[in-house]
Amino acid sequence: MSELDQRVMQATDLWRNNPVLVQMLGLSPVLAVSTTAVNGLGLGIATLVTLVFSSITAFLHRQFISDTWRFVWYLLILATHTTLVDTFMQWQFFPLYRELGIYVPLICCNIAIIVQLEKHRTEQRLSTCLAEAIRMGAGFVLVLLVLAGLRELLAGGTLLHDWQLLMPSNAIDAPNLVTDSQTMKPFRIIGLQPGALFVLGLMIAAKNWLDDRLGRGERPDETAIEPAQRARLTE
Amino acid sequence: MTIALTSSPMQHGQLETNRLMLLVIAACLPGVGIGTWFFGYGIIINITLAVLAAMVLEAMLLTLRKRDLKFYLSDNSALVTAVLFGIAMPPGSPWWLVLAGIAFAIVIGKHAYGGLGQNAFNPAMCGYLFLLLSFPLQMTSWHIPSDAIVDAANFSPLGWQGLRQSMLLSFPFLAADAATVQATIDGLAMATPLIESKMAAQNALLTARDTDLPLFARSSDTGWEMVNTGYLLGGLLLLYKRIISWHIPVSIIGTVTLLSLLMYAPGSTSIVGTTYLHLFGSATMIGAFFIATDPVSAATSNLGRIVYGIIIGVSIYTIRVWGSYVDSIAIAVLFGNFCAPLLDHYLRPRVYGHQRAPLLGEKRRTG
Repeated sequence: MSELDQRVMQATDLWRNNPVLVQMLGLSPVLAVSTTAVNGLGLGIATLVTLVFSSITAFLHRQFISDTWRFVWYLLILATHTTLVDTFMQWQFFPLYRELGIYVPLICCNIAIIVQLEKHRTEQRLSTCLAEAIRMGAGFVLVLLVLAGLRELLAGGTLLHDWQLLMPSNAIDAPNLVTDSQTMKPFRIIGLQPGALFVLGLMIAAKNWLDDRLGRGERPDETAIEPAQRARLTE
Repeated sequence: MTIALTSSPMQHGQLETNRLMLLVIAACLPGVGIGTWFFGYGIIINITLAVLAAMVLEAMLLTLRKRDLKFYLSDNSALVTAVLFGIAMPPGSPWWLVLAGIAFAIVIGKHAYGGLGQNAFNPAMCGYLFLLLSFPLQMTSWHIPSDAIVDAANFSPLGWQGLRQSMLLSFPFLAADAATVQATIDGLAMATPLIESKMAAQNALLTARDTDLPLFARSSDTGWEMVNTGYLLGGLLLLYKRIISWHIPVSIIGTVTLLSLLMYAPGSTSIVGTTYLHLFGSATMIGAFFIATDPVSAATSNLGRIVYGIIIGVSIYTIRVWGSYVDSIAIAVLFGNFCAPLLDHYLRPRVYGHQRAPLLGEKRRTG
């Protein structure tokens, strides 16, 4: 593969190798937090920041990270950065932090990030490593934003409701947001857990359909499936 | 054992999918007719709406999926889905509710899984449950024309007034002003025997059958018994025509009967409804004969069907008595559908000359 091809491949990574739609990694925060667009965007950006900074740290420490203990290293790096992000959000984005709850600390269990750190082990340049981390993080944010936006639209009839949560504000003068319970709720099920899976499934289907239309789809070899065998009594 | 020998000429049995589906619909007719007689035109309006929408949607999706339109439309499976869905909906539901439900049933419940034969879950119940989780209020109010309560003695739900009120409930935009619709709806929301029994149990009263609530005097109580009898007759017709086998209905009804007999404690504060209420005051009959027996989503081996029925029966009773939902056929049937592939895997009949399939973690015997 020529260098140009490689660059093209990398540039389309966000779509072709999307952490959620293709690799299907880190689904539990995606499904749990994507109830409103603001929540999705908030967690997505927090994940992006954690991913970028832990990628840099992992890159700088790559000489110390031994093969045997590398996942311990990754978790340590990731946990450190998650704690930093968590503390920062508590300080500057308190209402959003309160809204996201346990899912901010749980960023350190996001397998999408760990896979990314593992990929960076063989990387030679900081710039490529950084670019890939940003691409992956942006893919995560984008999917989370679209999924959460769709779900908010279908379940609550709003879009970017309570957007003030994304503005910096500390615990003392945090706006006391009261969700309007009188508003019409069109499809409550989309806001519940099954709805998350429905919408995500439809998004994946839409992506595959689009890939087919654009002729970029990579179909798995269906003939490779082993046929079922019956247990014969008489060999 | 005797083997009947036949020689040619042989006659074609003609039991193809489309005829089979039409027979299922024919078997629904007694129940639908009796329901209309007691509760008004709401059921018919629901079914009509659902059938029209299902046909249009089915045609659209078949076109999208590049399937042969005539062949797949004429297998009548969308028709059965729509009829069962229309029966399950509370009469007097607004039109958009019916359309949303049938759209989910056909688009997601059926075609997203790959169409008839591939749908892992009963499409009609998918649509019903989608609505139940989205619009709990609308889905648990049971409407009959208000005059049936106000002026029960002189009122027939089949009369002109009944038709007008049913139409107003389904199509609120037909009314001249909003006040008319409001007046119709206010007098209408009415409890089913199961809801009433649940409330009574919560209030430590007697079961609904033992009290003389005015709601039960006219149309509800007798009506529900007769409707269920209608579906029982239709189910027996299906059994007679061998469209369904006896395993699923018998095990569902048997399980519900057994559990409700064991749990019933008259005079106690934790009354959970009589056996009679569980069998004839609810949707058990249509669930056992028409919905759970869907040949695609049910278990296929005979033993599997019995276990499948027991799973559904236990779920029906458990959710009704200890759950927060009023009736539980849809949830129980979908839960049974979840279990069906597993049952099919483990309860396969042994093929003659072959060993049974190895269980999980069991080594295949050789020799």
